Amino acid sequence: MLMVVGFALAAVAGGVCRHLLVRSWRRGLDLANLAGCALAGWVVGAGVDGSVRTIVLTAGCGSLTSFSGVLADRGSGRAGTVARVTAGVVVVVVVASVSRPAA
Amino acid sequence: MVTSRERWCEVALVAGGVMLGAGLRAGLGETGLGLGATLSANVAGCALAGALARRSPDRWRAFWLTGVAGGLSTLSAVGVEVDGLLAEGRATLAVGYVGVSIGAGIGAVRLAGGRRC
Repeated sequence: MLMVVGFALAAVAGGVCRHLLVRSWRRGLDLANLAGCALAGWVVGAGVDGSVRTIVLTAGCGSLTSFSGVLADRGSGRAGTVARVTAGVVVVVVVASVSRPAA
Repeated sequence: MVTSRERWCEVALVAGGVMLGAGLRAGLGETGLGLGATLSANVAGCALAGALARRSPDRWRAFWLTGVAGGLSTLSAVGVEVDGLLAEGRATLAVGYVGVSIGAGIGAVRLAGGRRC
């Protein structure tokens, strides 16, 4: 039950944050995507697991970032779309590698 | 002029839509489809966004577009999956996965929006 409530709260927090960023700034979706990807990279790199990982990663980061928002945005063109998706993926990979504890 | 009450109403609709979209995405993740689960969620979210793009803006747009489509699709999960593939030394699959995600997403937006690919 606690897991379901935590998941719902994190999903709502992520989605509402994205909505408010998009409403208040022209590049709000990019900021939301990059912030969500950076948080996801940290969670993966730091080795967070269990319920916290599901709540933060799947619900929070998943809802803060939006793949459809980038692809449905006609203003950026195909090259811009590819660049925006690639930037998010690169942020996850780089932050994860930096956050990993040294072996 | 948008009133404060209308703004809160919009936020509530986004919150409800995100819960539905994220719940569907989590359900897809439990099916054991692996990379296919995120890909399916993203393509479905893109199709929904494409279908709504031609409709005139109204109150329910916040629920379906920002809420459900935004909550269903995710960029961070794509990055996490790419990170996992790179850690396993499967760089070609990682690049292909990103390419297929973008291609399928653009196709879904266009097809659902009634435009030719």
